[in-house]
Amino acid sequence: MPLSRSLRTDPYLMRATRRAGAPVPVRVCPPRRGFVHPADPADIVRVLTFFGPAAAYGLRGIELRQQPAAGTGPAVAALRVPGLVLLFEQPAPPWDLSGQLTDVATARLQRAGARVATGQASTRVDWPGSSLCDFMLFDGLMHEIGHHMIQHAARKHRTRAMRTADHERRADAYAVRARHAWAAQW
Amino acid sequence: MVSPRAHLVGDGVQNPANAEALAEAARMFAVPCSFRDSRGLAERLPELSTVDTAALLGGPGPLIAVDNTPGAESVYRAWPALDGASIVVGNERRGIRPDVLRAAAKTVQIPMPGRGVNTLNVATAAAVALYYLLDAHGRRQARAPRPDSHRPALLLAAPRDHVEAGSSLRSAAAFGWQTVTVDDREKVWFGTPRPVRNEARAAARSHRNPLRVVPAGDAWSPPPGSRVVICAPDVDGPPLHRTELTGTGTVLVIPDGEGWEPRPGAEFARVAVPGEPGRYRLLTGIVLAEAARQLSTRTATAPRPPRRGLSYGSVLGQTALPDTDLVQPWELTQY
Repeated sequence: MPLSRSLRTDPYLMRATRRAGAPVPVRVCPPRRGFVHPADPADIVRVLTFFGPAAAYGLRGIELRQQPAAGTGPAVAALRVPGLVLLFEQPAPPWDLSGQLTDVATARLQRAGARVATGQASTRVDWPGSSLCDFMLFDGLMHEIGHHMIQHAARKHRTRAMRTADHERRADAYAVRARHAWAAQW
Repeated sequence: MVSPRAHLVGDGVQNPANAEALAEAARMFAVPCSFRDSRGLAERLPELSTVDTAALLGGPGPLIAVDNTPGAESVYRAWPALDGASIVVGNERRGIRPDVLRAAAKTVQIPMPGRGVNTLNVATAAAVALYYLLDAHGRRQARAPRPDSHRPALLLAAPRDHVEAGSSLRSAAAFGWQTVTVDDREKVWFGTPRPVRNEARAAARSHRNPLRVVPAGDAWSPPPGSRVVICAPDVDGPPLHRTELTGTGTVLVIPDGEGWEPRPGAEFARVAVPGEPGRYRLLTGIVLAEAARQLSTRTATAPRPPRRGLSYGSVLGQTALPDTDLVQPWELTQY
């Protein structure tokens, strides 16, 4: 049982429960032709409700956006500190990507249930069932919320609470735990 | 027949007066204007050109949506529109409908730092978007945000119509002005009958417009040492977007028509448009947008730019891309 001596030093979960406020606003920019938002606002609200105030504490908003103009690969999600999570539109499945995915990206997709077939010049990714929606909810949304919790618990808005590799590892571990907890309810 | 360089499309515009102003904005830039009518506009104004959904979405050129959706690009930084592009503005309250936003190749917004009022009249927004997407080439570079003390004072000189004056005051508030002086020699703003007053205040969105409107008086003269810049479509001077419009002690004067006599020593900035000079609200919208661009103040609701703030991104990494690129069938049909 976590205990605290003051309201300021109490554990994150207790503070989140005490300060749970208005629901997190979800704003939608419609996707372009050929793209979809795999997880709609109702899915996002369902996941945030399941994980309770700890997941939503300090979040200022979630936006479903179109893909950013430039990048080294398909963007999944981003966190703008403090507390703004962006989930980007994705190509309608199945995906035909030019080039090959890195091993890390391939493992990440396969962990989410995707079937990845790598060719010489292109990669085909099939998303059976609701796996693409789950990918966005856990490898996108919950991964970024993991980043947010690290920054928010450390009360840091402008500087990184830890080095980037550790940040990514912890956010990824948070997303994996969230996926297991979600799967355990069925 | 030479194909027009762009089309202006009003998507679900509801107010007939706004539809006429929108058609006038198109004539200002010598582009055709049509309306996707879903709110009975064609019955009230049968002379307007209409376009159906299939023709709008399946047109030959790219669609550019002007709407302040999340993630929309600033119109000041957008590349000039390609020939044959359709520039779409939306309904006065609801904006552009989702099917157009989905089909749009690009969505642009007009950054507005105003707090009480943060939207423009739909025709004014169209005129500003057309100005930056079609005509304002070689503009002065706004290097860094300037303090608000560089914001020029503003004089609306002899507006001739109360609704145009009200709509111009709305634009001024939306672009961040807090005080505007009005030379009301045509008696359109102060001391007007109640119906005129109500219409003018409604056009200015006065119920949430924090703007302070000061009468200029008959003997108005600029403060000593100030620099007066007169912005009009038919004056002899450099184009508006190449003229310095900001700086401490600068007074921007926007006359309505030719009835206002400029003071000696004033500078001129020409609102260069290829078509006929538009109505007053379109002119003030363009001038105020350019001054706001040169100030490059941040919008009230905009978050910190991502380059300056801390952010984390999640991207599917790819190995070295081949020289080929995969093209989807729908991209080919649009090509």
